[in-house]
Amino acid sequence: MNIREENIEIILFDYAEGNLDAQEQEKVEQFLASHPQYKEMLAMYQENETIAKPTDIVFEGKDEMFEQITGNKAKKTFLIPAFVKWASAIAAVVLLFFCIRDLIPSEEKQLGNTIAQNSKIETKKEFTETKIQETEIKKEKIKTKTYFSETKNGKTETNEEFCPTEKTEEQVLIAEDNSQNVIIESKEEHLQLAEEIITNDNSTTQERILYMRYEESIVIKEERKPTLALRVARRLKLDEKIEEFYNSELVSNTREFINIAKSLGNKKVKTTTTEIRQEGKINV
Amino acid sequence: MSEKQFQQLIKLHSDDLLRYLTKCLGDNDTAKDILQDTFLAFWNHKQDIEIHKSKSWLFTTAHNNMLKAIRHKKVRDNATIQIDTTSKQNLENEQLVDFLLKQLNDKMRQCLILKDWEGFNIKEIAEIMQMSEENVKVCIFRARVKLKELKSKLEI
Repeated sequence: MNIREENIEIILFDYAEGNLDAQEQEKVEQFLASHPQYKEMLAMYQENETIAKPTDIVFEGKDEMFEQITGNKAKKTFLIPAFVKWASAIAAVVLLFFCIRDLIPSEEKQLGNTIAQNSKIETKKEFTETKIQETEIKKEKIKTKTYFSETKNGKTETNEEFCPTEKTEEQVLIAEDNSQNVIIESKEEHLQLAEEIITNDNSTTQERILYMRYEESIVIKEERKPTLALRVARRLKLDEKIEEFYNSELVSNTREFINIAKSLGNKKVKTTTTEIRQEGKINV
Repeated sequence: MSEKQFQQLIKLHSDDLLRYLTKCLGDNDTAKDILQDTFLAFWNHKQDIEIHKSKSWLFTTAHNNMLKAIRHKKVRDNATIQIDTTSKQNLENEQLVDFLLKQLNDKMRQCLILKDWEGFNIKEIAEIMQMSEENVKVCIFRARVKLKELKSKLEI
């Protein structure tokens, strides 16, 4: 950069505006040190402020000029200040919040009513289902009793004859009540329970009732376990059940009949033996 | 460019242009005429003008129109006014600026207004004024030094 009188004003302008690099600035400062008149000129340039922008000059005929140039009428547009826009937005949000807040309780109330109604419906449904289940259980009892209503000729009596007696019904209910913590689902469990009752001298009332609930089940018939059932009945001293076994065809040999008869007393044994010989049902 | 954009352009730049023309010409009516001619030219050439260069185009055209007006002596060149140091007490700020600007020659005044009021850089001013950048720098430098001298004489 060559500094001469011809270009000194340009260089001083760039120096004052900060357009020069460090090396160029140093050169200018060296030049100014040897040329004080330019140093004074630079000071005058730097001291002078930018001229203030006048505010009194405003063009009033904007719309008219637009209409004259384009031939169309100027559309009036209103400039909305930014703070007005923000204030409107905030006000809208606040208003919306209060509207929602007022709506929430009524919505909750409505929802609560709906839940309550549904809850009632559900409760009613559950109650109905429970009743149906109870009915099914009773029907099952009736059906089970029919097993033991079968005669030795293989004929089946009607259900009406074998409807549970008042006593049996009560027992079933007691059993259900007492055995709510004891669930016997499989025939294996049933047989295991029977074995336990036989081997345990201190069988509880609950166990007896449980046995009564299940002794007539299909397990005994299908598994052909009349001896086991008989032993349990004897153990529990359930005379009525022993009598049923005696009259049933589940017992198919003399020894069993004699054992049953023994359980029922000596008189019965004599009668039984005579009847058996007379009927020739079994070989004695 | 749509009419809506053109209307916005008028609202954005017409005040700045009128201020520039008025201060450079010293005649408000002629300045308004030139302003209208400038926007009319813009509308007629809107297909050729890039929208981001609108302001620069308007000032260039206005400046050229102003030069034509000066050449046809439509306006009285009152750039040279004798300094009346006794009246300085009565000058308000804007009047003082107006008074000081009138002490500069046309190019210095135009360059200074474009830089200080309209915020154009040296390159843009050179395009508007159709001058070299070096000449613009010299004009602005001399204008500021002269204003400082005047202020010193007026003891401002």
